[in-house]
Amino acid sequence: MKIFFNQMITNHIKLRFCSIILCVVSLLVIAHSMYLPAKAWISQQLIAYSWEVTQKTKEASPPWPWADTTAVAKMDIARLNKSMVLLKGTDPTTLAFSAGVMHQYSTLSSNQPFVVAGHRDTHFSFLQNVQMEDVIKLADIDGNTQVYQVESIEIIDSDKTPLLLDMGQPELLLITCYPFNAMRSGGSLRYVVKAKKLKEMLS
Amino acid sequence: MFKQTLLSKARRNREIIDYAPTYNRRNRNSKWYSPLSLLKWFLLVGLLAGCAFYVIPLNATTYNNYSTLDDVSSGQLLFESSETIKTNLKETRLYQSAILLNSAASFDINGIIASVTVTQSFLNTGDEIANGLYTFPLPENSAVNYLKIQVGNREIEGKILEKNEAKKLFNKAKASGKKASLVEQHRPNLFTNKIANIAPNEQITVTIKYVQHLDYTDGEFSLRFPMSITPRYQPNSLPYSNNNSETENTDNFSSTATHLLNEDLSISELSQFTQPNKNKISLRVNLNAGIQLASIDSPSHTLNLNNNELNGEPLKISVGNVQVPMDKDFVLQWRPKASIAPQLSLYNQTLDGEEYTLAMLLPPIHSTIDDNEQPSTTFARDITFIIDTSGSMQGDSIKQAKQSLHFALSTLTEKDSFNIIAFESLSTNLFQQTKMATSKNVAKALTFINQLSADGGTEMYQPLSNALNMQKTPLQNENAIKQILFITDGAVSNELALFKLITNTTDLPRLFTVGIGSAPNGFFMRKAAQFGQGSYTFIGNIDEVEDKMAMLLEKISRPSLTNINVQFHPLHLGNIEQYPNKIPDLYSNEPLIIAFKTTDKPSSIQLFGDLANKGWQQEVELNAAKTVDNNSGISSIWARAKIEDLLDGLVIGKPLEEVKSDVITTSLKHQVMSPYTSFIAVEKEILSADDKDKRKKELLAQKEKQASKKLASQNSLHAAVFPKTAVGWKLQFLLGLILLTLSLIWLSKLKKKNHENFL
Repeated sequence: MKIFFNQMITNHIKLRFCSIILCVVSLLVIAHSMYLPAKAWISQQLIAYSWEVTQKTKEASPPWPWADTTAVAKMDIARLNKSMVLLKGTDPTTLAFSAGVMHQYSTLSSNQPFVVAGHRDTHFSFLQNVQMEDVIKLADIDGNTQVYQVESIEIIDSDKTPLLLDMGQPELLLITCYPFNAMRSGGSLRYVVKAKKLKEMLS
Repeated sequence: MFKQTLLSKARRNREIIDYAPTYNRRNRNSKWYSPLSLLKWFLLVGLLAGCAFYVIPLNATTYNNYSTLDDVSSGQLLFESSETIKTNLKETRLYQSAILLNSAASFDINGIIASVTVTQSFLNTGDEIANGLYTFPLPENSAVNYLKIQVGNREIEGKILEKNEAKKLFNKAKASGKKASLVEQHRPNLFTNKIANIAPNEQITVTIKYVQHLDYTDGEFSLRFPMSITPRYQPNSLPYSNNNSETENTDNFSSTATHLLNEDLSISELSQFTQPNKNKISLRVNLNAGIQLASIDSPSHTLNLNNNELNGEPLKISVGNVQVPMDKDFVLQWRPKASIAPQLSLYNQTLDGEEYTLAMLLPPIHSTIDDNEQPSTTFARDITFIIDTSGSMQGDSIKQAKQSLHFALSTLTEKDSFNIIAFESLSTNLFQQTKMATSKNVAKALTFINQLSADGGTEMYQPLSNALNMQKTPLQNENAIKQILFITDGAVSNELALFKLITNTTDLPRLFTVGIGSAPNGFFMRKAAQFGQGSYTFIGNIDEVEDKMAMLLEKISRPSLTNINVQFHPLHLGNIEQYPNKIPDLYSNEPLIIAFKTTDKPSSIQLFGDLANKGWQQEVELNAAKTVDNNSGISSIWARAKIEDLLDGLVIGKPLEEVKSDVITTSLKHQVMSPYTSFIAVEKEILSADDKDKRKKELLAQKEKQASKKLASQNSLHAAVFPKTAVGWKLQFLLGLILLTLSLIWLSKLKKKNHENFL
């Protein structure tokens, strides 16, 4: 009986050890999952600062010396009290830092679309609160400002339809993944907010 | 089997024996095990349910008599139904297809270009006014240039108009209650056109024309025409009997077709009277292959070929007007005779007193037997690889790029020389000048590649100019072809400077660009490759690296003919307009098309070029016999090439207004799409007063829907790839939380038990 009791204690220590390891692993998993949102948040602060600098120098400069992207524009949505600096490029690295503008559609002009993409679970999670007729303001580094108004919100299956852009239209497209609260990433649905240009203010 | 059950029984018995003395413990254990095991089961079931939810759609997709736009596999008129289907997270509208009365298609094929005319009639058998949607799955590399729809006494005609004019017409038509429709695109290559207000029992006739660039792979041309209609609205029909006769017939044919000069083929008529309800299509094919053929057949339908060599015109084949059932796509394939040298063929069309000529240069076709002799006839190459290692390449992109390079190095032979330039903000060369691809040098290169990592900015000018002026190793052959393979995600801002750099280089190497990642700057890379007389390859997915790189490297490792020049006879033909201006090299598997416009008709055209070991030239006479009728699409191919060339002018800084007006003139004259023109279909008014009132009311109701409709057309719309826009941290976070709770429960239980034990 005594031997059995001892055995139980060693068993018990083993079990306890396992459970502590499990506990530590789970904490690590949580920490790892928080890494990207945290990075997204911190980079926002850095980018916001670099935007201020850019405003003064009027020259595109990377937010940190080794960055492969520059700030292109600042987006404001007054109703949601949301403002965000947009970076150039929609590659994974850039999107981890902020919402990005597609290279080909990254100039604020009166006859070209402007296409922005962002992660649905970090920077662009607020897109689910954007409503029809919301007003979105874009300002680029040269001080040009354009005001857009949301005219349609669509959910598109990217496997079936390519992203169709009318090259002659000065529209603003905000793209993120859908559904917003999906657990998995890599789905084919995209949430596309389209806004038409209201007016142009050049300075 | 029996043994096993015995064994397991024994085991179970043993268990009982083993555990019998510790009954007390087990009993106690069960107290604190049960909630945990319950949780375990709960999790397992939840996990399974979750998987099932993602894998199995909530609703099956088969609906009788209904289909979605994804099912369209031939020209069809669809009526919108009120029903939709829901699979998880998606909702798709269902359509009902109209009865097809008759269909006809005619193909005018000149070399690699087919001009296709499709006419179909439908009937609205419903008892209500319906809104229809005409759909046609266009083949790849094709563009619609004509559309006409006849609905009762209304007529809708599609035309290419200048954009502003099209817009005006669209608005005017909308205001006056007429129907103007613009071509829309639902899924890639699905042509759709809405037709409103189709009265009961009204007949609808649709005619569309498109020009298609045919497929050419492994020495075989192939034409595919979508016509596999999913039978609907039809009583059960008899199965076809043509499947068994097919093999027989092709066998029969190949024996007679070895020296095919002119044959009259007809597609065997299946007894149409025994299957009165079956949809049939009448086909007419005019094939002007331009070269000697080794074989022609149709894997989809049975061809009856009647040898008819005495007929005067060689190399022309026509399939008469025949009726075949629409149960599968029509495929026609023909194979030119094997030839070691490139083959030239000419196609000519006269339009408004001007001569349009296409020259098709077919790469050598090796018959399978003499494949062995090829290595001796390949060019030596002096190739520079440029690889982008900037920060935006991080992750999959750099992996893809490295994999591509590895692969490229493995294809080099001892005759070749190479160098690698890696760039971000700064650029690094592997060697000072190119070096021969000895195993030692290749090993050095592999270590160099493995050390690369993605970081820093993108400065392209320096590495590109470096590569364009790369010194050739003295060990390399004088005549080695200079090539550049440029792998990047194309995040460029100084496009213009780069284009100028390329166009201003004398003795320009062939430039091949490879775009990697979700959104490379396709425009820059396509144009750069074009100016560099190379080609652009897009790799969007890491799974495609091997296939696409293999294809590209296979291609560039064996150019068939280089330094191609044209000579017209007689020498003076007035104004000659030729596209492309600079004739690129000829590669295997890619016939080269050169389009000319001349004031007078040349009597013959001669092409010169360099093979790997000797010069090459061929002269082809352009006699009257080869002139084809106006339906050939030759002038529209020329016009497309011209528009492309004019638009390139913008890239190197020509004034916009000048280019725009030139493009519009060409586009309108030849009815070819361009960025400054729109394809618009406007209804001609032929309504009675009564009808007018009735229709106006209906139209008002629909106005809401139409108001938001955009002025868009196939070509001014630009299709891009959606970027990936989710991190997916929530799943991991949730997993972490579940694990944490589990471990905490466990821990607390252990403590409790410990406590009990010591008590």
